[in-house]
Amino acid sequence: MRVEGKGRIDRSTPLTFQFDGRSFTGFAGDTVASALLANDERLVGRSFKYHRPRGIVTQGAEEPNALVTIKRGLAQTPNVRATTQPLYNGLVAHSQNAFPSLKFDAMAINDRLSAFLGAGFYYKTFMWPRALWERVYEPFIRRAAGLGALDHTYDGERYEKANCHCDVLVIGGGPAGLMAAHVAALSGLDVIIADDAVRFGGRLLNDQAQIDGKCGAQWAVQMIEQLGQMPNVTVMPRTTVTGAYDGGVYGALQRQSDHLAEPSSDLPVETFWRIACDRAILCAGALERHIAFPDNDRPGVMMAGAVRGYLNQYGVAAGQKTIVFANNDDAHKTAHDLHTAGIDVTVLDTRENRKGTTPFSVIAGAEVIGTSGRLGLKSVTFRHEGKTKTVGCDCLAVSGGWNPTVHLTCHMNGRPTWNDEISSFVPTPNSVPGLIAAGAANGTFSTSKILGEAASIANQVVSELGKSPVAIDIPDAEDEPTIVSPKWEVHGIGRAWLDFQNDVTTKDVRQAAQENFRSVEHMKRYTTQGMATDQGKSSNVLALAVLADATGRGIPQTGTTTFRPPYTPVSLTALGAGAHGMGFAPQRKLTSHQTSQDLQAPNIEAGLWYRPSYYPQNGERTWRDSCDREVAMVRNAVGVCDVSTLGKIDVKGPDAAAFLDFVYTNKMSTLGEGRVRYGLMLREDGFVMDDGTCARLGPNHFLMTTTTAAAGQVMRHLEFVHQCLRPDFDLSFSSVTEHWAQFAVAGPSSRDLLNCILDRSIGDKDLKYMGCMDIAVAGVAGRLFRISFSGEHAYEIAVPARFGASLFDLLLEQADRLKGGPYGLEALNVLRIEKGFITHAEIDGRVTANDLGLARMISDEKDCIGKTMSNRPGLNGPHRLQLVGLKPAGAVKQIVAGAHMFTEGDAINRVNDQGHISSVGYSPTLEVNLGLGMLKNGRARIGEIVNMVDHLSGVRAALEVCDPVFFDPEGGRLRG
Amino acid sequence: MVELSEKSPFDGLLPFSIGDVDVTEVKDLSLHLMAPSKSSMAGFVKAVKKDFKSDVPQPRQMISNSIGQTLTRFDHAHYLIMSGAPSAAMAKHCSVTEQTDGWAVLDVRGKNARFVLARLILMDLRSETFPVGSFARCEVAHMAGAIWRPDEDAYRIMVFRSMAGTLVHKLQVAMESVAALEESD
Repeated sequence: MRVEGKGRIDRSTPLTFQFDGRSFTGFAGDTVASALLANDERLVGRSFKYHRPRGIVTQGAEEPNALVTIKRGLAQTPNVRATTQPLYNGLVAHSQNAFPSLKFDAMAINDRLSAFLGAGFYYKTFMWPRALWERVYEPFIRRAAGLGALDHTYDGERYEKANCHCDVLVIGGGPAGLMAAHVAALSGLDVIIADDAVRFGGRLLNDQAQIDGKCGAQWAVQMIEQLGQMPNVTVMPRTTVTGAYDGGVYGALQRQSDHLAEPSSDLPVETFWRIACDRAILCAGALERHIAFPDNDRPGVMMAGAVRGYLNQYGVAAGQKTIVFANNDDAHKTAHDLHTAGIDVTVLDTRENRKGTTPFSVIAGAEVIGTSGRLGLKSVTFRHEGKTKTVGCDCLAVSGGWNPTVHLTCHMNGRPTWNDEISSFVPTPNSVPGLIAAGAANGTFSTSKILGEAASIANQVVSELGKSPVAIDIPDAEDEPTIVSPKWEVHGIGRAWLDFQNDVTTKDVRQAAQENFRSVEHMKRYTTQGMATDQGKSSNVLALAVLADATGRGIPQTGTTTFRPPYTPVSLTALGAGAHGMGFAPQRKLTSHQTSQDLQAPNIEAGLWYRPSYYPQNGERTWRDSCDREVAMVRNAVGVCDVSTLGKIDVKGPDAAAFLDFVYTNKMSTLGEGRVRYGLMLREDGFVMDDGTCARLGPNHFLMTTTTAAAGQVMRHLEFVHQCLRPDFDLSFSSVTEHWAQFAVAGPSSRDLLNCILDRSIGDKDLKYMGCMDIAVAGVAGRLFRISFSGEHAYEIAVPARFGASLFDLLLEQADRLKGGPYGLEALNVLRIEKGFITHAEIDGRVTANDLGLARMISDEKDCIGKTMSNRPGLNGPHRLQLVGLKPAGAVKQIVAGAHMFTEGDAINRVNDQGHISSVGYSPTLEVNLGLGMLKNGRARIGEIVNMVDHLSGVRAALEVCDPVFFDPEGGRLRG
Repeated sequence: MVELSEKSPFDGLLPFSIGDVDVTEVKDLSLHLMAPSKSSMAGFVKAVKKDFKSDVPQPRQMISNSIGQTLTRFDHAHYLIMSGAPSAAMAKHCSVTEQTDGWAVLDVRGKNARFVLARLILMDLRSETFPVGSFARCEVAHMAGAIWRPDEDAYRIMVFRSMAGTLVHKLQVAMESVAALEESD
């Protein structure tokens, strides 16, 4: 019900919205919750387990009940707290966890069965038969329980992550936060002030408190306006600081568009901030707690502070007749404000000695023992002076005291400290380095003291950060003492609820204690108390008070459960923002990328690189057609392939040769200038790390190439070796992978092709196999290497990357005249398999040089990284898997990569496994499928027939073990 | 007679503007890494003093000389000289490796440039902590890169050439977001 003349909403801007298909009207400045209450909609959801009818309880982020699904276009956002969701015109909200409707929910049958479904029910009931758990019980329980659901369609909405930095982060924009930010900002420090609401002011918006003789809410508006005008202040509304992390880093979720009716499509829904600051001041206020009395969960039973807030901030009376049930003075303010607004109100105070004259009725020493009303509160039954009385009412405003919002101070495993005076936990100082609590979050409740404390703490921070403290007049404000007398529970007939979201009762907690789950952490897990999306914000302290009572310990001895980030739920889309589609990972494109795209070449991802896999031509139906043609083209004419992705490391300095001798197994110091050598690198543990070529460009200048996959790893390895093992070596190295575009030109006509483009043509004597030289193409200086990964007479030509695209086009143009053309990664793979050249399919981190038949490459004349370890017993010998070639020997001609091999006649099982197949390809040259594999004692088994079994596809074949070099074993073609 | 033409890493992608932020390519910024060894360091320091009238730059510091070259500390082993190859005097005391074509360099300019980059870079880019003349290696939207401030209104960023397209895409998304946020305020 809306109350005339009350509230800080804009009554000149009515907004229409829908809830469960029905239309309602609210005003600008409303939340969904306040607008629903204004329309007397008290039933907003069903509870998680028993599907009990539930209504709005609180006014903020701690809300356990009023979770709704908001639909906007394709987007569907579940579990939105109606209490924090700003109203906009056309908003569409749905209730959750009810079928077929909120008023009649079939699953409410659970509530009737609740005697059998208490804490521990799952653990005891669904133990047997064991097989049924996964297939029957779990799916059933998941269906029955639950909150809102995602709809599985990608909604295309934007989310983002961002970073910001400041000197002081002020968390919370109530009286303490505003004052602390004001002081810090005046000192000249960079300040961020964040508040989870749309409007700053915190509880000043909910109360009628006066500051400096004016309305507290107005003071807040003035303060935030002043702060907003200061260049060193960033004001962040709708921002929840969700976690405290190491090094002064805080996570914060800012809702950017959920308050707008028609947000721009460019506007992110949420920004997840990483805020780094020198100091943080926690001014997050306090959360009101419930009292556990029978049937305390009916729609219409609310927190007293929230009832007051709805009245003062939104002009909404939560009921026409309200009973206030409390153990403290603060709740009397609610009664006072309701009474002033003309609402019928009575206070039931648990304290016998509560005195004072009030214009409304106060019954001291009373306690509520029951309520009635299935879908909404109808009456309250209370006990007073030994008598029981029932009175009709539609709102029960409860206050069991206030809990400081200590959460962030506990995010690094800190535990709060019990404070008897306010019967609550307060932050333990220095639990999070650099974070100081002030105001209600620190257990200080009078407005006057809050303002003074915030200013003093801010000045302390200012001094710590090297600025001069700011002289400030603390404005006049209310300074009433906090009077609270602990009251946790009222015993009576019926269930008394603690955790509304997970349906945990006092009985459940007592049962946990009885079954010896006496530690608060065990109780939590046994009962699920505090494990719902609200993380028990309104129930934790109450639950552990009940546990303390049940176990005969005090509350401080019982302790709290662990507070973990995030403070409120953070959507995965915000945490993973930017990581979908193109944003998933950086894309590395070759200089020849556009030309390959124009030629319709599909890309294959090699790490972050995009490499063309084949170049289809008219009439070719599958990739194999193209691949076969490209292989034949290289074998018979000439092919061009972009190999720029291979790592290129420039190594320079007087000790470069000695250094390379140390990192390669073979000698590089003996390499002549203008010569290239194949090299093998081991890890420290003696296994093969990478292979590649190394060219000597000058006396103290080498160019190392690595595989595409291991470019980063090799660079890191070199840094380690130089910095940690041989800092005495005088050399330097830098990656030049990106500076050079490099193309393989392979095939019998390769030299003819090069001679079409080189400024000075070359003959056989100018550049022998495994030689390198400087060249020029159209005046552009480049390098030419005569190396081959195809087994053909081949070169690699390199120019600075800006000329890469142009050189690739030029090479293709000239190749075309020689019946050649581009080839992709598929053909490159077949060509190297035909020659038995290895890649990381073979060097998979588990092979030694000996396994690959490369033992002779470990030089006897010098030491190298991994040499000693490679001689460990077990790393060499006939029990090892060794590199072999494989070709079909039976009716089945297929070879499958990843398949395993078994000795003929052996049973096909794990114990008899003889090794696996690492690479396969169809060789158009030899017109047969070929494979490379790692076979136990493989080199001694050449000529033997083994059985291949692929357990995934079911393919089985007999294979002949052969030498890994299938084609041109003498190497005449590459030298010729 | 054959011909080779140059192609920029940002070919067809730059310049563009969204909101009040402009992104433009920085062309022809010749880059050379210089690695003085322990034994040649003294000579290198002298050569830098002669060319730049300054001590060798500390990490995060960028110095410039009268012919418009800038010098910065690039990593533990290297100094980076921009806008031209090092003088013979400097080159004599270090190993020089050209990197011009390895990097794609652009400027992000405008009032909101810092807020755009806040979506790509973790570093504190406020003027007090990262004034004009600062240089830092950093991660740019998961890419290895570097950032420096040529003047008060602009940040200059470099990433590996192959990733130029991703950088532009990331900037575009961030710029759209920042412009929309400003609009909605």
